[in-house]
Amino acid sequence: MTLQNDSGTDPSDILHFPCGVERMANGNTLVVDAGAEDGSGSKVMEVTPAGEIIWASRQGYRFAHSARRTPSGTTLVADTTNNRIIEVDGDDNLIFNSKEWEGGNGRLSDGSQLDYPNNIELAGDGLWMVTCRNSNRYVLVDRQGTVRAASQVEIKHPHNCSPLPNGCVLLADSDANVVREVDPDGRTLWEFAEGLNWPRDANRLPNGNTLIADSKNSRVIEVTRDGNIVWEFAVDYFANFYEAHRLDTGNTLISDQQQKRVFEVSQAGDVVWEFRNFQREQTVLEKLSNGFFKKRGPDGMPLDWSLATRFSEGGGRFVEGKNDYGNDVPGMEYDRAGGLYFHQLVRCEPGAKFTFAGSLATRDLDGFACLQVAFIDDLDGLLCDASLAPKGTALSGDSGWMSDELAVTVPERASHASLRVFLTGKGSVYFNELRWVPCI
Amino acid sequence: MNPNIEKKVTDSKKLIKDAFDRYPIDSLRVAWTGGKDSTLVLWLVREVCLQHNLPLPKCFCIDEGDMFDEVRDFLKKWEKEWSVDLRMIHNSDVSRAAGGQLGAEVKIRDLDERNRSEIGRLGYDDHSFSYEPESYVGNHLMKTVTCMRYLEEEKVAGFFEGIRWDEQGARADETYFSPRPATDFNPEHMRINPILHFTERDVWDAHHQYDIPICSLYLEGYRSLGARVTTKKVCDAPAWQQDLENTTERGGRRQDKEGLMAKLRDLGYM
Repeated sequence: MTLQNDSGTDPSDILHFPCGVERMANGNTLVVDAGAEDGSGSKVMEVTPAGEIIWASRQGYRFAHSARRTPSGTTLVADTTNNRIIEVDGDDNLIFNSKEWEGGNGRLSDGSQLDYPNNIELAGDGLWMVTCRNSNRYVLVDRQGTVRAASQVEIKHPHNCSPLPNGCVLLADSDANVVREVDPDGRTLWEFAEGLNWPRDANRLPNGNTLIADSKNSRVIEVTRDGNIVWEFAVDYFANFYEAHRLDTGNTLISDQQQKRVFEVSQAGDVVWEFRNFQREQTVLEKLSNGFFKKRGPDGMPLDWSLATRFSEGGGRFVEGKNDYGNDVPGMEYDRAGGLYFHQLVRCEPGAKFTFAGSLATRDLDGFACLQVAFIDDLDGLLCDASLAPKGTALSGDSGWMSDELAVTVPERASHASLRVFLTGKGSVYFNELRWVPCI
Repeated sequence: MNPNIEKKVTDSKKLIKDAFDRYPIDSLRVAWTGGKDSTLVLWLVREVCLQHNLPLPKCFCIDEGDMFDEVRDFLKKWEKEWSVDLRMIHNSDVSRAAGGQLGAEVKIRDLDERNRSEIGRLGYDDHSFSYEPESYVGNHLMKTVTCMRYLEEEKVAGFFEGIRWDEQGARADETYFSPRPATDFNPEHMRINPILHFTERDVWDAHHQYDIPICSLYLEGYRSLGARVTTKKVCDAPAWQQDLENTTERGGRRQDKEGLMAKLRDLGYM
């Protein structure tokens, strides 16, 4: 039996967090879903112009970011958190897996491994260009894992690096907030940085201009070689656009991570096509529930709370600990540089004031943990970058049990809040007595 | 010698004298925990009384159910030496319901009506809670409710306490005379805070400059004395020899909240 939600959409088909998107020769759109907040549901989907999902690949992906349909009809996927490139056929049979390189250890010919591969491009002659965010480089590889070329320039957490016909590479050098064209020796031939905030995709257009997804500015811009912005599509909400492509029609195809949609805009900026089927699976509660964690499910997990591991790069788990009096308290354990959070969704009205309070204790934490409130709109998009959302005191090391609280005013457009305990780095955090108290 | 201490002590004494002029002394109290701050406050109050030939106000100490023996011994010793009329106050209804065992589960239905209504006021909707004096429910019942009941019974107009501006953000806006209006649960009273302007360093300097007694736990490395189970030593050096300026009094580490933003971004959180 197939589970169906109220809208009739199979829950496994829900598009949660679109990353890569491309319009294929057959007119359909290939969409990469990085998955739900709990880390599940990452997949690649082929969507018709009518919005019908006619094909999907589900290969145990974790936070997959990018996919390309090859001329032979197979699909290559950059399966980001699994640190692999795979290829599937039209029946979603696995026909290639980079983990098989070097006799099964997944190493490239230079001894390295793919580390957070977040983009793959077809580079001609059977070669692929793979961007690896966490090793700050791109590599040009063949199917056997032989490195034919690699970036010769310092880049900071890049997203999409694309080969150009002239032999150069166009880099979305995201954390450096710049888009650059570099030659094989690493010399910069062109760059654009003015006003960019976390560009994650850049594509060279036939007219020589460059299309840039300027993610945290929630806009897509077309820039000339002289650095003039000649076209812009911007929205007045936090969209965190991921990828953008100019179509033959002159329209632009964009993936919008916060409103969980892929859409096409005309030159005039009118939305002429959209695919969005998001249905929230987590309940929004009327008030904070089970903040003292006494109600547990059969699996021992606190009821009404969930663990969000989408950004945890494959690490992190729920753990049980003891407080100073020997009583059970929930916690999280983590061991790397991404982030995870334990959270609950609670409805709230703009203008209302609340205090989010609780007790936390970090243990041997080389990183930090804190309380956090992330406000969300009625389309389930964050109202701002999560790193800017209100936070409590950051604790690290062996903090001992500390009480903390933060006061917030619900902003315009917010329909609910994600009340979180956030953790990053190596170590653990335990927490208890979480409270969301209206200020009268 | 810290040259600022004399001025700070003088200012504190003026505030205390001002309180004596505003309220009858028998309606005032000193909240004395045995910690360094409240012992400094009691010493200051006593000095003013000696200077003006006034009786020392009564003192109270909240026993939240998990006191260090060393603190009890300290209080007993100086209660006698300074002729203090000290009353230990305790929410015995809660400790009885917990069988006197810390960490035990207390059924709310086993409590008296006042404690039950206080739990309702917190918005706590479970049937039981753990008897942990510094937990959210425990702290309220064992400290706040105990204190308010005492103020009601004794018809206290105000009491001196040892909070300071530099302790934590929440206390940065406190005033020397901090009025508390009556509510359904609290009697109207005045909190008098004569050492708000002292830093943690000033408190130690004053103790040393005026030879004010301290509990032996500070010598062992404790910096702030709370409930026994939850109070930890950060190091073995005497409290006043620790890095008071760059670490927090209640453990943990002082953190740069603004710097987090960049760190979150570097870590790829979003």
